[in-house]
Amino acid sequence: MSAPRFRDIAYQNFWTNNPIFLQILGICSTLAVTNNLYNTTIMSIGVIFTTALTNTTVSLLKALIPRKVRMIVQTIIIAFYVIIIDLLLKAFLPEVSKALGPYVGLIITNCIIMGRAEAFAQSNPIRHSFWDGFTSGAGYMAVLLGIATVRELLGFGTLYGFRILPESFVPWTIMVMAPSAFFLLGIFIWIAKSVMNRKEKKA
Amino acid sequence: MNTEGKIYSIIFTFVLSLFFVAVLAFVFFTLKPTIDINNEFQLDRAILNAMGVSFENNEAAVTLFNEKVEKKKFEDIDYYQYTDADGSRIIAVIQDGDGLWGEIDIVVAINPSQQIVTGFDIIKQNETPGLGGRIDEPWFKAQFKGEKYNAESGISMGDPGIGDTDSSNAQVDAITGASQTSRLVTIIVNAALKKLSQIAGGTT
Repeated sequence: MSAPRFRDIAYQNFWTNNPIFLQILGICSTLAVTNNLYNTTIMSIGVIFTTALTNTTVSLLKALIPRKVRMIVQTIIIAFYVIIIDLLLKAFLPEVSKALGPYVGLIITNCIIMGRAEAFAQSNPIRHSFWDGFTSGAGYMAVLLGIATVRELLGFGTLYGFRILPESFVPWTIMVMAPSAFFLLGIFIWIAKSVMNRKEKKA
Repeated sequence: MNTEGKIYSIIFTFVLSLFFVAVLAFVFFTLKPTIDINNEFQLDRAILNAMGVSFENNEAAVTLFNEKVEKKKFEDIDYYQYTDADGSRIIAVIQDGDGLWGEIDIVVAINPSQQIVTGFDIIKQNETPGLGGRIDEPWFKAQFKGEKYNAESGISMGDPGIGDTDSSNAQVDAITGASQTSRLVTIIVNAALKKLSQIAGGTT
C-alpha cells in the first residue's frame, strides 16, 4: 500500500477527517479550556507537539512493537512527551505552567494522540506519520481557536486578554461556562457538515 | 525474531520504559535548577505582591526580598515582616487549603495598625483553567487589597450580581462560574487572617 500524499493528509486532518468535526475526539479539552484564547493556544501547541512526536516515535518503532502490548507502548510514549512539555513549561514559561495547572498532564488522555498513533503511525512511514500528527494537532487547534474566539469575546469582551468590546458590553455569563462549548461545538459541526454535504451533492 | 512472543513483549516493554525513564530523569535533573529558581522567584514575588511592595523584575524582587523582608516565627507560626518607608509594619503568612480539585497555596498580608489586608497572592493552585483558575487574575486578587477585615468573621463573598466596591465591608466578589473555588479561597484567606491576628496581637 502506498503512503498517502502530504497534501491529502493535511486536507483530511483540517477538513474531511478533522479530529473534532468528524472523529469527535478531544472533546474534554474543547469544553474545558476554550473560554480563554491564551490557554487554548498553549494547550493546542502542546497537543501538536505531542501528536507529531508520538506518531514519529510509533512509526519508527512499529516493526518492533508487539501487537498485544502496542497500546501500553503508545501510552508510555505519549506520557514521555507530555512530561517533557510539562518540565519545559515549568522551566521556561512558569506563568503559563501555573495558569494551565493540571491540564498539561491531561494531554496524555487526549484521544486524538492515541487515535492517530493507532490509525496512522502504526502503518505508515516516519515522515508521513510526523506530518499526520502535526496536521491532526493543527486541525484540532483551528477548531478550538474558533470556539475560544467566540467564547472569550462574548464571555469577557476580550481577545487574548485585550479588550475588544466596549466596557458597556454586558458579558454573556453562559459563554464562560462549559455548556456554551457544547452549543458552539454543535453549531460548528452543523456548519461544517452542511458545507461538506453541499460539496458532495455538487460533486 | 518472533515479536509476538510473551518473553519478547515483556523485555521490549521493560527496555522501552527504562529508556524513557532514563531520558526523563536526565531532562528533569538538567532543568531542576531552573525550575527551583523559578519557584523561589514565584514565592518571593507572591510575598512582595501581597505586601503591596512594587518591584521591576524577578531579580529586583529577589534582591528586595532578601534585603527588606525578615522571616520570623511566633509560637509555631512562620511569618514574614516588612517595614515600609513610613514605619508601618506589614506581616504575611503562607496558608494552604483545599480547592475544588487540589491544594491551593496562598500568601496573605495585613497592615495590623490599620486592620486592612494589604493583598493576597497565589503560590500554587490546580483549579479549572478559565474558571476557578481565574483566582490568579489581577482583578480578583486586587479586590482584597485595602479591604478592612474583621478578625472574628474574616472576609466573605458578597451577594451575587451586585459588584462589591466597598473596601470597608469585608466582602469581595466571587468569580462567575467558579462559586465553589471562590468560596474555598475565602476559607483559606480567613484561616490566614486568623493566624495574622494572633501574630499581630502577640508581636510588635
